[in-house]
Amino acid sequence: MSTPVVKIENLVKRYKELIALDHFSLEIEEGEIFGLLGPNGSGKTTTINCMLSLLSYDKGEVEIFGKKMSPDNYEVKKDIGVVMQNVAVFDELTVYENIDYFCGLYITDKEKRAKLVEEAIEFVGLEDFKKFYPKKLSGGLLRRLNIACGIAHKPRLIIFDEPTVAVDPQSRNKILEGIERLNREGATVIYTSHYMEEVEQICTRIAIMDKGKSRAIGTKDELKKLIRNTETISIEVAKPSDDDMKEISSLPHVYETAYENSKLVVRYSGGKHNLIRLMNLLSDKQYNMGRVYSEIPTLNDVFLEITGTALRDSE
Amino acid sequence: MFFHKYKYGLLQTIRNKELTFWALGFTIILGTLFYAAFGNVYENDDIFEAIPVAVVENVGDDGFMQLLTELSQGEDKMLVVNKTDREKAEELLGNGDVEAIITVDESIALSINSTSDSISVSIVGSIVNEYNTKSALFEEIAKTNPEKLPQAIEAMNVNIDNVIKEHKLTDAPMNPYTDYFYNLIAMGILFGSTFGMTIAINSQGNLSAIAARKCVSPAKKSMSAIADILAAVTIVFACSVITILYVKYVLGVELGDRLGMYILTALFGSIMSVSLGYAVGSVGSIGEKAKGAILLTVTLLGGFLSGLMSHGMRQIVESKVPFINRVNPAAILTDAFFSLTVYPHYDRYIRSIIGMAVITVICTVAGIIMTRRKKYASL
Repeated sequence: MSTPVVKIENLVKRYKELIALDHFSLEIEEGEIFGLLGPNGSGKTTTINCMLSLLSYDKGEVEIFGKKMSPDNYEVKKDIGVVMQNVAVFDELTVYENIDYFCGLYITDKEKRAKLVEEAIEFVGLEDFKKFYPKKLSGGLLRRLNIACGIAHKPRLIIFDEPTVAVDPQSRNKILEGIERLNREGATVIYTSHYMEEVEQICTRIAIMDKGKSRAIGTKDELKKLIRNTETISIEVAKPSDDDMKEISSLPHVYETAYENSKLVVRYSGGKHNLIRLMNLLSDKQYNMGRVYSEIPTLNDVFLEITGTALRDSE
Repeated sequence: MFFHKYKYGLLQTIRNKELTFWALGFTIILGTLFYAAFGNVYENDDIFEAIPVAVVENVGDDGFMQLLTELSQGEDKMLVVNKTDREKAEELLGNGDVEAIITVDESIALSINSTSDSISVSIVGSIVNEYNTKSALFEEIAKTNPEKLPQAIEAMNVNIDNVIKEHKLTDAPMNPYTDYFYNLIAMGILFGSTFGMTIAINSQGNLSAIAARKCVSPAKKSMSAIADILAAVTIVFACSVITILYVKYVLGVELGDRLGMYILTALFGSIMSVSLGYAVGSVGSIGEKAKGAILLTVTLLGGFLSGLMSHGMRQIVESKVPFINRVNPAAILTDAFFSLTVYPHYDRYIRSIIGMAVITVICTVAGIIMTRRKKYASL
């Protein structure tokens, strides 16, 4: 078995009475896009900062590339790239100079660095803004510059800490596509977010965090299998009678029925052809149906069932 | 990597328009306004006021008394002589009615107190020193080569004229308004402390996102800090040299003939200023705005106490709370410029340089101690 790129064991971080990380453990393999999903304050950024030896912690071990991580472990640091949650660039330096500056903290060879900087600029699509100062860039472009500063030196492990906060949809898509491209080019990626759609879109494995604890870890499908729900069908229809509701509840694989906002909502745990069976029943009962929705469970459903709170509710 | 960081440190510092304005633009504008306000004074040669001195004659010395008489006569008189006894002389000095007591004894002695005006003391001191030196020489010649005595007397007369003309051993004029420009240059240099503060904030992972990004890189923190500090000192020093040259050559303020020493002083001042800012910026428990306010207070209040807004303030502070003048960076720096202009010797200048060195060492050590942490309890 290969050495994990990141190995965190029993990490505990306290801020006085508050336990920010509570015996948190994690292993990330090479080539993964690993998502840390959780609401604000769940411990995602604290995990990253402890992992990078920026934050002291009370207990636990952190290994990166099989080596114990410490502030002086420059060999390990050389292969890490970090895209901070807050934009961290110098207002006094241009786009090109900012990328060159941060790349220069890793790469001393001037020619090699110039090539890497150009590649990073091309990667984030800032070719037309090389000589712009950060204050002249829009929020989305600024985020892209922030990313370029973190990845220009072509690290083996890249950490993205909520890189799409306050970013327009176009820039967000470009960022997500870029992360997938970096992964295809060989980088292992850690991606923290409270946007479950993003995590679901790009991450190969996900850890659900809540109150400093890891509640579940696995692929999207593995996580979805942890919960009872496999399908939720909603149909716009007049409110069924109590007897009809009982009959719907007795259909195969149904575990919950409700009538919410002029819609009949039926939740299933497994089974096939659930929609056809339900629509046949409603037709037989002479109900006029409007729009029909069939949804497979999302990470929000997973989060809801595991933590007892919807991810968005807890924001 | 060091030169990479130094190069970008220079770029960041020089492009920080706000800070550069305070370190250079503001100083030049204020200097120009000072010059406009004092312009007539500078063009007026007759700005010197005769210095009041008390003379206690314990032993008769006709030569010296004749010299005093000559110096206290006419429109261009240098001294206002008050011949009196010791007790009365001390009372006059204590009340500030005279700047010094000249005691005529076996040799001529000078007594001053801490409130005496430095320029006046320097002038009177030069006269006394010159007379003592020449009279000793005169006696020696009389003993060893009496035949050369007439020539010696003639030479002595010539040199007394020189004393009257030179006032002191440096060539600078005795314009009290020049003190404002020393203060101005000092203030400009001390505004550079903000650069040091920015460096400290951008090097601690718990204070800024940029610092956090730097901390997770393989670049050593100490090397980064040294490169940044060196870049800041370079810019502050360059600003101060431009200010000195502007004051001297554009405004025409006569700062004296020790330009090289002024520039050296500006270099020491720049190092002190950046290290002061670095130390304040390194304090983790207070916010950036509070740190900026502390530095502004040190600069402006320090400037006020060293005489930026009111000539003679430094002497008042010296008489009441001399300790403040020893620890106030603005006063130390101003005094260094002042003593270069006024005193022929370097005793007082060296005291100022030592003061700057002590502040620099304390601030640097404090800054290093506060920033040496590599992991933070919170971000």
